[in-house]
Amino acid sequence: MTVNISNMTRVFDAPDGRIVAVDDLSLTIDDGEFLTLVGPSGCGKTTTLRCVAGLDTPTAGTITVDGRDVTELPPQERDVALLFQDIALYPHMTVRENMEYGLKIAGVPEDERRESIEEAADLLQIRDQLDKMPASLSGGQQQRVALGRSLVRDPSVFLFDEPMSDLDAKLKRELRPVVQRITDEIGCPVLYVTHDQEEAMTMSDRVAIMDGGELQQAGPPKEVYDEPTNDFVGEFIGQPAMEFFDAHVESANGTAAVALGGHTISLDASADQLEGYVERDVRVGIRPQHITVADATAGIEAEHVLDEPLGDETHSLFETEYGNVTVVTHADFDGDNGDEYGLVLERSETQLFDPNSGVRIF
Amino acid sequence: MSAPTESEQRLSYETRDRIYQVALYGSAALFSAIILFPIYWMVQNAFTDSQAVITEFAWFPSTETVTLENFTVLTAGAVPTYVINTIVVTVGTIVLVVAVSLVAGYGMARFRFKYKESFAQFLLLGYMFSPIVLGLPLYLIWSETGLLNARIGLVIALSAISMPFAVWLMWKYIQTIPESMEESAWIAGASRWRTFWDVIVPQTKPAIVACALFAFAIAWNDFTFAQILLPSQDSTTFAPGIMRLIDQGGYTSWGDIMAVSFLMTIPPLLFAYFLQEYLLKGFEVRTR
Amino acid sequence: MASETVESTAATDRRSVTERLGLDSEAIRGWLTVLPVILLYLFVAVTPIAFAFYASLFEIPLLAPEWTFTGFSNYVEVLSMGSFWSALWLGGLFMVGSTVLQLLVGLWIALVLNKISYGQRFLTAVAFTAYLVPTVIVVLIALFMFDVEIGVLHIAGSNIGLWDERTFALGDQTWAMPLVILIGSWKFSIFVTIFTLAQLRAIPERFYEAAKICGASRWEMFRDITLPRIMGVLLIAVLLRAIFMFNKFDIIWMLTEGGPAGATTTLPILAYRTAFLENSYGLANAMAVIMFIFLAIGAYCYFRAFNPAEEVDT
Repeated sequence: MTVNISNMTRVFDAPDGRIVAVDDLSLTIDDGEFLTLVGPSGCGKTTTLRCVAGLDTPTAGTITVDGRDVTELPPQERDVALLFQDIALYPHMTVRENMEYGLKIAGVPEDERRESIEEAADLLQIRDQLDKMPASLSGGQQQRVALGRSLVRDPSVFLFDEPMSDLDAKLKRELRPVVQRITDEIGCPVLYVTHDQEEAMTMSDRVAIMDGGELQQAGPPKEVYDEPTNDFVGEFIGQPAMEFFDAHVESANGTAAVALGGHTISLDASADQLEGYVERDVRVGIRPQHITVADATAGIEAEHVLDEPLGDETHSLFETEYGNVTVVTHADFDGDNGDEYGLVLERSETQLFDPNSGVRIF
Repeated sequence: MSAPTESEQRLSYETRDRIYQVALYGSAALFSAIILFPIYWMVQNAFTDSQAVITEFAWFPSTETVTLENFTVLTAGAVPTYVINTIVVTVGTIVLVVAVSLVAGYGMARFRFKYKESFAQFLLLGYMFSPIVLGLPLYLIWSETGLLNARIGLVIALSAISMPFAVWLMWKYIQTIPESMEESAWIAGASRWRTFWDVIVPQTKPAIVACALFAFAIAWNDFTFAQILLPSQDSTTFAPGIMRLIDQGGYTSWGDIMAVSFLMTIPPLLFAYFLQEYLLKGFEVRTR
Repeated sequence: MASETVESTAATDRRSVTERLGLDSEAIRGWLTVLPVILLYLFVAVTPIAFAFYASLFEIPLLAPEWTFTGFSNYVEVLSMGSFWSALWLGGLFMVGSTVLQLLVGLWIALVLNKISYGQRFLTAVAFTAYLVPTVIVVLIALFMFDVEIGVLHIAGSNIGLWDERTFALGDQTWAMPLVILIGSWKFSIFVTIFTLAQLRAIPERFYEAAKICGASRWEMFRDITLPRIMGVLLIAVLLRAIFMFNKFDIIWMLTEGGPAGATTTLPILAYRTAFLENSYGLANAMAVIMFIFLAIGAYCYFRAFNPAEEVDT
C-alpha cells in the first residue's frame, strides 16, 4: 500500500472570501512508513488528513491508494482507520462493542470478531476493560480502546488526527511506543497529524512540515532538524526554538564570513558558495544548544535575564540588540541577573537564511 | 417575598425567619391541598359503591362502601372503545412525532442548507397553531380526503401541533453529539443511514423520551381536534365520547365516571413522577 | 480484511456514485430530512388557514354543502352580530382573568418549589400532576364536585351562601365565568411554574450569597436578583398563556358549552356553535379567520418582543 497525494488543493468558501486551506500539496507515504504532518494550527494539516480519510473532498488534485484513485470515494469505501482527537468512542456501547463495530459492519463472523478483539486487547493491555463502558475508563485507556478499534479492522491506511493533544505529558510518553507498536503490527502507511514537534520527531520515519497550506519540507526527523529548508522549519522543529540574528555577509580572501554584533564569524564556505549574498544582509540561525555563554569581551553583547534550570540542563534567557535569546547552558549555570555576558555562536552550526524568502542558503 | 417588608425591619432575625419558614411551608401545604384534593376526591369515589356516592356524603372511604365494581364500566358499553381509541391515537402520535422529529432534528443539526434559519422560524410559528382555528377548516378538508372519522387523521393533526417543540428539542440535542462519532463510524464502513441508527439514535434517548412525553401530553389531553375530526359516536376518543354520553343525559353514574377518570389519569401521573427530570430538561432546552 | 473490502468495491460502486451525488448536494438531503415536517405543516396548518379564508367568502350550509359565493358579506355579518361582540368581550375577560390568575399562582408555586428544602421532589411531582391530568378529567371532576345533588364544592358553596342549594353553579349567570376561569387555572397555572422553575434553578447561588453579605433582605433579593432574571421568561409565559387562553375551546365547551345563555361563549365557542349547531360553515370560517388574525398579531408581538430567532444562529 502506498498513499500518494498529488497537487492537492482545498479551498473553502468563507463569508469574507475564500480560504485556501491546502495549496498544491504533493506527498507520498510508502507502505509501512510513519509520516507525520506537523505545523501550527490552521496550516492545513487536518484538512489534508480529512481529504485522505474521505471526510472532505479536495478542490483540485488527486489522492491515490496503491494506484487506485480514491479522491472522490466516500469514507466508507476507503478502508482507512482514523483516530480522533476527541477519541469518539460510542458512549452507549461497551469497550468490546466499540471494537467490534467495524467488523460487524464488514460482516465478519462472530467467533472471528471475538478472536481478533481479544488479540488486540492483549496487545494493548485492555483485556480487563472489555466489558466496561467507555465513560468509566481514563483518557489514556480510552485512547487505547480507540487504537484497538482501528487495529482489529486491519486498515490499509492508518490516520491519526492529533490523538494525544488532550492527554498529559506522562500519558503521551506512555502511549507513543504503543502507537508505534500497533502501526508496526498493521504495517500500512501511517499519516499522523500533530502540532507537537516533539511527537513528530520521536515517532516518525518522516516528518512533513506545513505552514499556510503549503508543504515546507518533508524528510526524516534528523534531516529536517539538521538541514531545514527555510527559517520556518528551522524555528518550528527543535526545542528550544532556533534563534535568529540579522547579519551581513562578507568575503575575506575568498572565504565567506558573517558580521553580526560587531564581530565576525568565518564560515566553512567559500565566497563562491554564497554567490549573490556577499556584501548583503542575511539571517543567521542557530540552535540554542550551539550558543555558548562567555564573558562580556567576546561574542554578542547580552544582558542576563533569567535561568530556567531543568535539572540536566538550563535554559538561560538573555537580552540582546536582536531581542531576547535563549541559550541552553550547563546544568549548574547560574547567571547574575542584569550582568553583561557575551554569546558566542558555534561556527560549524551556523546556518544562513535569505532575509526575504526565508530559504536556507547555507 | 411572603413576609411583608415593614415587619422585616422591625422584627428580629429569628422571628422573621420563622415567619418566612411558616409562609413557605404553609404555601406548599396550601397549593398541595388545592391540587391534591380534587384528585383525592376522584380516587375516593372511584372506589365507592355508586349508590353510596349519590346517597351518602362521606369525606373518607369506609369499609362498607369500598368496591371495585365501578371499574366494570371498562368491560361494557361505549367507554372501552373510547379508551382504546385514545390509546391508539396517542401511540400513533408518539411514534410519528418521534420518527419525524428525529430525522428533521438530525438534518438540521448536520446538514448545511440555505434558508435553514427561516425554516426554524417557520417552525416556531407552530406554537401559535390553535386546534379550534385549524379544526374548523380541517373538518371539510378531512371529509373530502376521507380522513374524517379516521384515527390516522387525528394522529396527523396532533402530530403537526407537536412538531415545533419536538423538532427544536431534537435539533438542539443532536448538536451536542460530537460529529467525530459519526465520522468514526463512516470510516469503519457504516453508511450514513446505518450510522444514524447505530450511533445517533441510541444517544438521543433523553430527547426521545422528552419528545414522546410531550406528544403523549398533547394526544392524551386532546378534546378539540377529536371533537371536530372524529364526529362519529363510535370512532371517537375518550374525551368527546364521555362528554357526549353525559350530554345525552342517560349517563351520570359518578362512581363509574370517577373510576374511568382515575384510570385515564394514572399514565400521566406515573410519567409526572418518574420522568420529571426529563420534563424539566425539555423545558430548559426550549426556554433556555 | 483489507482485500475483502477491495473486492467488494466493485459491487458497491453504484452506491458510491449516488453517495457522492448526495454529498455534493448536501442541501437536498437537508431539505429531505425536514420535508415531513413541512408536509405536516402544509397539510394541517397552511392549507386549512388558506381554506378557511376561501370558505369564508361563501355561504355554506354544513348539512347540504352547496357553496354560494357571497364575497365579504360573511365578515360584514360577523361584525354586525351582537353575539360576536359579546363573545369578543367575554373572550377578553376569560383571557385576562385566566392569564393574571395563572401568572400569580404559577409564579407563587415556582418560588415556593425553588426555596423549599424538604420534600421538594415530591412537591414538584404534585405540581406537575395538575398540568398532566387530562383536561377532560379536570372537567369530569369539576362537574362531579359541582353536582347539585352530591357535589362537594356545591355543598360547600351553598353552605357559605355563595349560591342557592338548588343552583348548579356552573349553570349560573354570575358564577359560570369565574368558575370556568378558576377550573382552567387549576390546570394551567403550572405551565407558568414549569417555565419559571427552570429559570429559577439556573440562577447561580453566588448571586444570593453576595447579596446576603451586603445585608440584603429576602424581599430585596427577590426584587433585585430573582425578578430581573425571570422577567424575560415570565413575559414569554404570559404572552403564550394569553394567546392559548384566547383560543381555548375545550375546557369551556366541556364545562358549559358556552352557557348559561351565552355567559361563557367566547369566540372559539361561538365559531364552533355557528359551524356545527347553526350549520353556517362559511360564517364560522370567517370567525376562524378573524381568530387567526388575532393569533397572528399575538405571534407578531411574540417574535418582536423576544426574537426567538436569536436562538437560531447555531
